[in-house]
Amino acid sequence: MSDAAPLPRDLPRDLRDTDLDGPALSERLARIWGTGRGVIARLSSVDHKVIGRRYIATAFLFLFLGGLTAIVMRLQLARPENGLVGPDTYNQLFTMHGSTMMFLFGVPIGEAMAVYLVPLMVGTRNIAFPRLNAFSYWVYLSGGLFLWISFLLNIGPDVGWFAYVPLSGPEYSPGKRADVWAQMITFTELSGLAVAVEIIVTVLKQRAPGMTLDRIPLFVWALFVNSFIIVFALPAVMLASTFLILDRLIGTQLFNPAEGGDALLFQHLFWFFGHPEVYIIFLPGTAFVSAIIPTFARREIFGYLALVLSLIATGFLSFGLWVHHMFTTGLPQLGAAFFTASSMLIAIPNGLQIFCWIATLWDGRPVWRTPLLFVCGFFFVFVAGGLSGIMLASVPIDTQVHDTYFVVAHFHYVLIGGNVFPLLGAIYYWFPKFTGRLMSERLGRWNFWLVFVGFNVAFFPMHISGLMGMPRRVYTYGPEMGWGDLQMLSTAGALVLFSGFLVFFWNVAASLRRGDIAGPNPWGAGTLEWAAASPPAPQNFDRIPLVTHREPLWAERAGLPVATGLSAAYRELVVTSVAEAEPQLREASPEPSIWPLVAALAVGATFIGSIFTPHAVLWGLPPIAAALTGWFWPKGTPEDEA
Amino acid sequence: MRRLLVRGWPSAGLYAGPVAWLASTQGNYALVSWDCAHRLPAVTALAALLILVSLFGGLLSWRSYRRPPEAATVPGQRAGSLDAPDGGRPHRLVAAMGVLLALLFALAIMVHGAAGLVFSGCER
Repeated sequence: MSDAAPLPRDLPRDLRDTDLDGPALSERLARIWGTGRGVIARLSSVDHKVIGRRYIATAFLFLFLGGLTAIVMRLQLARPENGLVGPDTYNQLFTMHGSTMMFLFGVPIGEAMAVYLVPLMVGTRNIAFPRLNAFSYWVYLSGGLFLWISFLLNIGPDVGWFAYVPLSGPEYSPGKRADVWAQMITFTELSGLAVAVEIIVTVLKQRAPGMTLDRIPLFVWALFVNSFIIVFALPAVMLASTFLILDRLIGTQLFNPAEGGDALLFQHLFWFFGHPEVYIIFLPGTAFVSAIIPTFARREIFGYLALVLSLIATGFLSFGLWVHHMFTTGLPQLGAAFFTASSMLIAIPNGLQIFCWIATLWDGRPVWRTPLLFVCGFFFVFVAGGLSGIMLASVPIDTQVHDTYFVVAHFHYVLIGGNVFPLLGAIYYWFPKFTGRLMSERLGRWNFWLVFVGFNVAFFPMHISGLMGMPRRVYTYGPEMGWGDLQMLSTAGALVLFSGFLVFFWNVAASLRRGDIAGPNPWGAGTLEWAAASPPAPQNFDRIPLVTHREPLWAERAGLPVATGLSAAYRELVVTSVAEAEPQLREASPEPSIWPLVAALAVGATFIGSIFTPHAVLWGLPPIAAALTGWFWPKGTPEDEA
Repeated sequence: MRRLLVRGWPSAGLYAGPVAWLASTQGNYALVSWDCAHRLPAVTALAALLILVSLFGGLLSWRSYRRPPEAATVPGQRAGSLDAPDGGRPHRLVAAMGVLLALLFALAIMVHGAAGLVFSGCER
């Protein structure tokens, strides 16, 4: 209770956290903020940690499924004229792989980690709009199941993850496969937008008192900027997929040049989303790296200002690169030059980040545990991918290697290097916080080396295959092409990479049961999530921390100062000002509700029905309206009165 | 206006730089065919104008950044390095980011404009 700063007391007097202390306060808050027992209670949970865990587990399930499709493709391509799968199945496999990895894993995993960690890191008790958070998860799950069940029923999409028209239009893709792709986009992007709004509001208005803008952890800055990118990028692809459904279902001609439409409009809309998407996947990776490095270098991050600046600059610049995906569509060279310029200039903020991280390690006393190994893997792989990206920003080179395996190699280096390596490190880093147990360090090292070696053996040869002219998305090739040895090498690497992931999943499963007990802060880290128990109590903190430093746990080793005065009778959190994080008011936080799940089911049924008949939109409206009415109907709880 | 120039505006560069760059990206992309048809360097001219917009935003941020700490707006705000980990100077951080972002985006716009000196807009 030392240095306690009382909060405004404008509500009627009731039981406050100043009236209780120790276990009595903890137990009372845990009861108020907890998720009940029983199926309905669990389905009604609005706890950001419960939903975050579900998001993370679901995203990893989709990563595993996407990995399986990759293994089947690699086995098919291991030797010339192989007959493991036919062209139709292969078309579905690469579409499912890309769509799953980009929409069901790449975007959601960053948001999933944010849902769990951001409220803890900013020192609040729940995410903003917790019921919307629950709704977003159910919508995401529905979209993923919709895509994969369609695939199992042999109506999986087969038009590539970016589903260009006219291939995906009514003339060349009869049946429902392209519709499944288009509507899966609507599901997952709706979910992504909801989470982005929650993160933005949480960061702006729910930070602990004293957490001024320049004390926000870099992890939070990265996911805050990421959320803005999501808000501005995702509507473009939702528009593209909706236009596509309209063309396919009700006969509009938006993408049909013969009737006054424009096929290139689809590409513009898609890539206006698609390039920022790369940064939507990468920025969470930077968040993980910026959290892991100071802890294991045992010093504060070098260049905080430069790193925040890099994040914001990357966020803006990511919207000025999309046309470099369209260099072969016959654009004027002057127009293409603008996008070459921005594509090369984005290397400045990204390079700045890398130098700041290396400087932190250079000046620190690094402890080489598994999370830091994955960060070092990230440096190597991501920088290699960035260098081939600079090559692809050049129109003449891009024109030569467009749609070849060179591009496949490049974007796997960027995406796996920029997201998956830091993510695996992040799971090792925060697993003790999620579960209360440490993961095995020995298996972690096996995991790292198998993934690192397997990845490079799988993907580096693809650069050469591409330069030799091998196009992507071919289900087989003739022996006379001379690609066989390189493809066999890539397949061998892919199997090693896959075995690395099996070790990871084994480590997770074994550590859940038998891992060493972690304690609240096993790594001696400095940010606020490590002030909470492992795993955190439902209320996160018994009293809201008062922040005086960027690494509060390092600055206040004797014990964090706290702010007091919040209710111990109902769910309440403190709202603070945007720049200075000064306490402004107390706000009730929503209680568990089953209505977000009901609303998600109604929305899901409407979305799925609408690919069969436009009338489904009309039939779906009453259930959606009923669910939303139930959701918002006053229930006489403190939440309604605050 | 004079008061604004004297006191500065911490976040001005944060808005002006990216907005000018977005205008350059979209405006100059649309001007390519016009450049070709009229044989006039509209792309370069627009880029020059938008560089000034970006730099003006950076100037306002700089004025704010340079204000003495005692005249700053946040109680308890102190002078010192922005990298000092105790923080507590949010407006100064925003002003510094404003200056640097304005410079970065002025550079990006300059490169856009330089393309207009090389190409006429008619090349395919």
